[in-house]
Amino acid sequence: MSDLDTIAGASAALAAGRLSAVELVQDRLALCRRLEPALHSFLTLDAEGALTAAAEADAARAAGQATPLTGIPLGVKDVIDVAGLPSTGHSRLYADRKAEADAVAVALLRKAGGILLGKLATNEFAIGLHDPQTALAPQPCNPWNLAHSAGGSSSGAGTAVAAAEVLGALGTDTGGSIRVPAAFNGIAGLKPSRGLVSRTGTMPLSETMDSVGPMARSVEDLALMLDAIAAPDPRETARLARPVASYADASGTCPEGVRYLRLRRYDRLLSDGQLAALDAAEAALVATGARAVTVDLPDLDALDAVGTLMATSESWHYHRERLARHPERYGRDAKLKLMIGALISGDDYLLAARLRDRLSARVAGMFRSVDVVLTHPALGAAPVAPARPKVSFATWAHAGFNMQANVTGIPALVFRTGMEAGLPVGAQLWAKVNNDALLLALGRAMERQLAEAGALPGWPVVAV
Amino acid sequence: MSDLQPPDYKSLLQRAGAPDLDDADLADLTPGLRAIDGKIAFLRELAAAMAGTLPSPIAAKDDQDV
Repeated sequence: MSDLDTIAGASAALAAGRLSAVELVQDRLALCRRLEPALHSFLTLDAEGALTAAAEADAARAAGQATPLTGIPLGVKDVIDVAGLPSTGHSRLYADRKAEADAVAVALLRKAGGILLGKLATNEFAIGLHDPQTALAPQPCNPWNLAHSAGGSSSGAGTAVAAAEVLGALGTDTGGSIRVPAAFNGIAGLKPSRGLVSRTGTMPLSETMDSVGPMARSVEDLALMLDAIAAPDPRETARLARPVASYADASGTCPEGVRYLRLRRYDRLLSDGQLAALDAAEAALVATGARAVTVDLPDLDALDAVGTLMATSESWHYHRERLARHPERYGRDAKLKLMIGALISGDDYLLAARLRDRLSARVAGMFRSVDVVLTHPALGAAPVAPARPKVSFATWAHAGFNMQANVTGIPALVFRTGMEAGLPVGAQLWAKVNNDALLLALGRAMERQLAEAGALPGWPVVAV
Repeated sequence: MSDLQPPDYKSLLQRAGAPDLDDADLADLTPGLRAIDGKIAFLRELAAAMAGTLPSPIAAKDDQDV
């Protein structure tokens, strides 16, 4: 990996004057032109705007006004508004929509000097499987093996960061949509604590479950991005004041004696490679001085059911009128998934909401006895992507394992810890609400441990 | 929901304002609707085991009197 392929490395090179932001952006645009015919990470590539912004970043640096993100090439999932660029949610409904203003998180990245290369692919409205009949573009391919899934719904963010087309990206996560593509593409992703990062200017799927968060090539890079975007937003229904001045600084040192629980409940479902990746993660965690503890877990299946009910009901509420007026503009999978929410009664939504409060209190209680939970972000490496995904809701009867973090508002970090049949697999850490800094500190320390042990996966060489 | 008498999902969806569905749509959608019904039943049982999710203004003794 080139030291220009991480935010921290490129930022140091820019600060040392080894290259300019314009040169760095030109380099990434050339990479995009080479890889995009195979990867399809972008729905919109804004080369002209990126080069203009890069020149401004160089001027800002010359004037002594640089931050760690100044001149860094970044991308934004296409459910998040970037002023002047198409913002489609990968839907025919919004195929011609252009955003008039930046989302708050995007504005903060710009203010920090980040260079936005464009809008990244997403599942339709962050929910639907790819539908060739209504899709605006091909679905992204996994850069490790183009025949395999990129995950979703922040699919383009996962592929673009893994291939180093951009060094960081903004994704969204309602039930794993940052964490699954981070795992499948072998990068790092953070679903921040609820309220830490503004969602204003983002197409909602579920107001109570949605999070906007960073995706990057290392945990340190996530901290650098979070430093720019974590800020209370008065327009938000969820607001959380950041407890540290700098996540990059606070995560630079790993505390000793951290208490961890390795979640074993789902082990029978996991592939051998996923289990090995968790073993490697646990060994790295222990090497940081962490110690295992036993705690009573809250009802994880109930948390999943609460999240599924609330998110499904809320997404139906958001789309009901649009779907009634323009059903033909929705992909079949998105349309059917949304309609499931039509039959959830107000009584059952309130039931779920009240159970959410109770179960969240139990999770908060659990985190008095343990600092982090180590678990998996996916059952294994990315599966082969079918040419035409089959609509099936049979799996909805199963209990999921990522929604719990969205229901309770806790932060969840995913990063790569192993390989399985030539594809990356990762580990996930949970902590109590607003302890994102602890997750980042542990993740950075664990990445160092894995690198020293020669166990940290490398980067893909895209077959084009 | 009883397995013996499956709900008329098509009518329920129409009443809820969903667009028209053909038979193939309904066949694909039904497992998801059943799954949600199952999760709702699960949460109702859980809430009952917690003695409800709302703090009751009526004391337990009064409940028994009723």
